[in-house]
Amino acid sequence: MIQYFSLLLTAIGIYGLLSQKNLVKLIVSLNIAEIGVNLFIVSIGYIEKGVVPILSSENNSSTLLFVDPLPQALVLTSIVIGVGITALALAIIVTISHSKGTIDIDELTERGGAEE
Amino acid sequence: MNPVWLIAVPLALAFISTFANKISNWLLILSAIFNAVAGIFLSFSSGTVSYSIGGWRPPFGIDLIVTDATRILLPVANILFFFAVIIHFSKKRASEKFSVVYTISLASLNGILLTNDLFNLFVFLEIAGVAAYLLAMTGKKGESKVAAFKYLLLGSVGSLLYLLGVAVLYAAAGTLNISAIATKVSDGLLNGDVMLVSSLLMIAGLGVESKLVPFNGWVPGVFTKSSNMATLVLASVYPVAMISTFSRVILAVGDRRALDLVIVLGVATVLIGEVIAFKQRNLRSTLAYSSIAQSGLAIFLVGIGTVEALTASVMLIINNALAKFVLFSVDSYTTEELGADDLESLYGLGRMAPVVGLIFTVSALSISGMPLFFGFRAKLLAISSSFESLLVVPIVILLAAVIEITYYFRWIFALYRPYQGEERARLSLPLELMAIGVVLAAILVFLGSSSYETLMTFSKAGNAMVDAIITLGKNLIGGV
Repeated sequence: MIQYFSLLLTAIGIYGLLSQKNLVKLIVSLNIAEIGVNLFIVSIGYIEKGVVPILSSENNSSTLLFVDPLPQALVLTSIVIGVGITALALAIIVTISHSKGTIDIDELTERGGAEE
Repeated sequence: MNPVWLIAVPLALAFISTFANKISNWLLILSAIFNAVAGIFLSFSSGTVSYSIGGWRPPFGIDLIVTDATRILLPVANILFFFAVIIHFSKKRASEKFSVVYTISLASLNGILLTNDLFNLFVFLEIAGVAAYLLAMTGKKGESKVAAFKYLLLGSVGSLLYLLGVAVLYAAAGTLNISAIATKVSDGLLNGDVMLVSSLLMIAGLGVESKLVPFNGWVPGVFTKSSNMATLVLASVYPVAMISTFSRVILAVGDRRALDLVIVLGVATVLIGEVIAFKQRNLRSTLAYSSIAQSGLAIFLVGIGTVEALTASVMLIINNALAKFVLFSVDSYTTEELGADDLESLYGLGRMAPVVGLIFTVSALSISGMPLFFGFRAKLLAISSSFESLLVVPIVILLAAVIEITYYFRWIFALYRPYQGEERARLSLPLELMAIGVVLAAILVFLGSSSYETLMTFSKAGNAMVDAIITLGKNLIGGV
């Protein structure tokens, strides 16, 4: 069930990317889409009534129902990458606003920025 | 030699140069030399070899794979990068600010070419992407920042879709190793609809960097607005890694129905790229749209999927990389010397600087597929193998080739047309640009006119593109 919600979140993010005019809001939409994908990946590894995939004195049998740890590791990596991309994008927005004086796509396009 | 050094050495040197900014230029040169030598060294042996990382055996851990295709593409990419670095540093005002970015892009491009793991590929794609966004920002004017932002948005959405595709495939196959998944696909263990969804997501994701048609809106802005050196790297070295990886992944884990879509998108990319390139008034944007068309040409062959088609694809990738390197460096030379690169200001350049005229002509003829040049053999093979598909495909490709020849001849004629304006001084060509241009042009002529045996390397590469990954996968499953 959570998978449908995470895909819905991705769709909301992509709608934001298509409809917003402000560069910062575009980055926010990108982050929402990213969170949706990350939730989707975590939900792949989820198993009903699964236990933590670590052998300990309580969980000491290999026949126990372990959740898949790999998607969680993937999501950690992808969250870190997402943070890096967001930081870079915000830095680019700062330089754009310094050199162009606006961060609105329509105004940037009118000044011959984004298009030929 | 373990190919992991090709990734580890540039990464380590980039890490050092963030702390030692003064020597970062030298570290960039050092890593470029190391990778060029190591790439050549790697190409001496043959066959498919898999190297596991960190002692975890392939279906469970990450592995790097060296196939006959990698043995050609890796040296080409690394040597062209080295040439770009030479041209960059021969200029006095080389800035140290971006050396780290170039070193990181070198590491990530090698990683993209070598890795055999879908998620590892995602990480390297993101690193290469971040480096490319920063390189796209290096232009002097504010426009390059806007172009870089556009590239960042498209690139991030693309890799997001790719990640979603990987997740869907992982949920079905239970592994991220490309060879292991390819084996499961060929044994029919995966649901066709699941595979279709994941291949569509991956085509969209990888299509952004490989300049496929609906996803390539960033290309003209980035290629025309960013700095000369950045354009050189983004237009000649990046496509080698990106397009070959697109074909590697889609061939191994793609659904048959998705491959038909690849043919359609590739042919559309060729046609649209050539038509828009025909309309351009200055050289750099012509070359940018021609790059789009050339990647479309290399990608639609992936959809056909025969050994012959993949051989042609590898040849086209290499032809494009060598020729575009020369053409873009001639373009940046003219914008620096003459201040412009539109048709009229190029008049008479071939007489003022004969070597520039020569290397430009050879590269332009090779890229437009004239006989005696490498591009002719590549395009001939591409068209003959495209008869495997519908008849309309070779017709459209031939039509696009006619358009391409027309506009490249217009530029070549412009170079030799008499110049009418005020007197211009005889231009001097920088030695390193002359040497590199002549070497690359000589390679294009040599590969175009040499005997058939020389081309066996390429058909081995085409064979490896089709077979190597899945053969390795069968051995893996047997060996565990």
